[in-house]
Amino acid sequence: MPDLNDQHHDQFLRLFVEHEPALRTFVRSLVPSLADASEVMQEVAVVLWQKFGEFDATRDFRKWAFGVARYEVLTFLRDRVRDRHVFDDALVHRLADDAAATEQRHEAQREALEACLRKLPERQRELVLAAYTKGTRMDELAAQRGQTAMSLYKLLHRIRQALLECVRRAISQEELT
Amino acid sequence: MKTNWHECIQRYVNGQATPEEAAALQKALKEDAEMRALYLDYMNLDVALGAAAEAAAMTGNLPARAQASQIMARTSGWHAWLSWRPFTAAAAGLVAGLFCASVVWAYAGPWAVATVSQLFQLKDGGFEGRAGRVPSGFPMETGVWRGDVAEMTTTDAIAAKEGRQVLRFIEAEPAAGAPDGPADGCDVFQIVDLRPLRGAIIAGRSSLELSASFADTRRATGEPIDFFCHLYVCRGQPESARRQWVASPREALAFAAGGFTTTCGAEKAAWRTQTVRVLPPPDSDFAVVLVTAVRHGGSSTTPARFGEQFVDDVKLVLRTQPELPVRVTHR
Repeated sequence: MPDLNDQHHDQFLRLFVEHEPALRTFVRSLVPSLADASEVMQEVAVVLWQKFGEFDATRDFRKWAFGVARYEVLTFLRDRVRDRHVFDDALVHRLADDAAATEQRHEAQREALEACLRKLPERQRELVLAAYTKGTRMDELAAQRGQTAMSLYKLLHRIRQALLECVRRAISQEELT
Repeated sequence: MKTNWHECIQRYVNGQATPEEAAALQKALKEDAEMRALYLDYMNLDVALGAAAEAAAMTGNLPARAQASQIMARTSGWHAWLSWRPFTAAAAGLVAGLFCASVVWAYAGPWAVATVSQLFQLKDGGFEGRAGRVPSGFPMETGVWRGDVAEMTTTDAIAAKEGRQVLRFIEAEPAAGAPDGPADGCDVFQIVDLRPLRGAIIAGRSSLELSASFADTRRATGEPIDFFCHLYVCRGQPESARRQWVASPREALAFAAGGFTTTCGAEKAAWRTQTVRVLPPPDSDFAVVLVTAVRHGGSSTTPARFGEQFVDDVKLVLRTQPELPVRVTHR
């Protein structure tokens, strides 16, 4: 266990918060739902802190954290092996490798999202943010808008596809310049 | 073909995919590197949108005066960093005004076996104590609701969330100290004395949680309205809160706000609970609780009028997490 001195604590917090978005994306890529990702992330945060005393500060924190997260994801998924939505270990490893290799591109996409959201018509922007707000139930959101849940999902699919194309385009333009 | 895979991946992301669709997706992901790239991009977008929504709830949709208050005067490098990286901060489950040494505890909180105590310092969270208009202006003492034009009342529009009465928002007034300023929000405040809790607040492990249930009972869809609850933690004499508040609410030690927008039009009105959390330093003296209904996106000196919007069951609890490790697992 690491010493609970302030310096050590601050060092961990700084590294953890800096790399948390990448870590969350990494975990999300390997589990079926956002709720699963949140559950695994709780465990990852605890394990990283517990093992932080063993971490060599000259090493890459992100790489180390991804390794811990991969192990935690596999443990989590093994308990759910009967769920037919869960990918098998071979694919999880392959996705984990790809996710780690593409993290820089994903970070750039996350940075580009804010501008892409601003380009959306206001109603679409409000809708997609409402859909992603914690506690939102899609059936209730659809009822508020006088829509069926199915038509709301279809609209969200179109918005997300537009956003994905926007952030991908933004990155490729960045690469050109 | 591509569009079908876009659809298939999104159904999987939403949790709508059938086992057969999930199996087909798995096969395609194993065989095709381009598919894996597309899938990973969607997953990245899923996480980023969740963070953006949380950031918008904390900052983008807040009324201007709340946004101003979000930037805390007493910042460490962490606060400055958080201000610049709202998406990241949101993704980490943080709220503006958290103290840096508390980030992980807040993050790991839900798993922890926490002790929770209801703070009886917040008085009459159910608005049952009396009926009629709340006294006008910012509170001068602790444990009393005061604010803009609002009343504690019973209503047929919706069953009270707690007890018999609710608080009805009626009309906005300009912020104290700015009589010619915008009158978009109907604000109701209570000052809560935290001094009796000093022994119970542990740095980095204790959080104050404010929750409030809001309802918009309009039957027809109308102009959008924002509901917010704000929690400020301050140092000093509670009795001087009024002067301090008017001078600069951003002097608070910690601050959190959360809210949502409603246009209503639902067949049956329903309560929606909003919760915000801050990590107070052990020597906190008092908190300011604010519940408000705000004209969405407006900035007008014509007072916003309400009447069909309510709040009830306001609670303030102190939650103290055990030291990490917070959970022991046996594998």
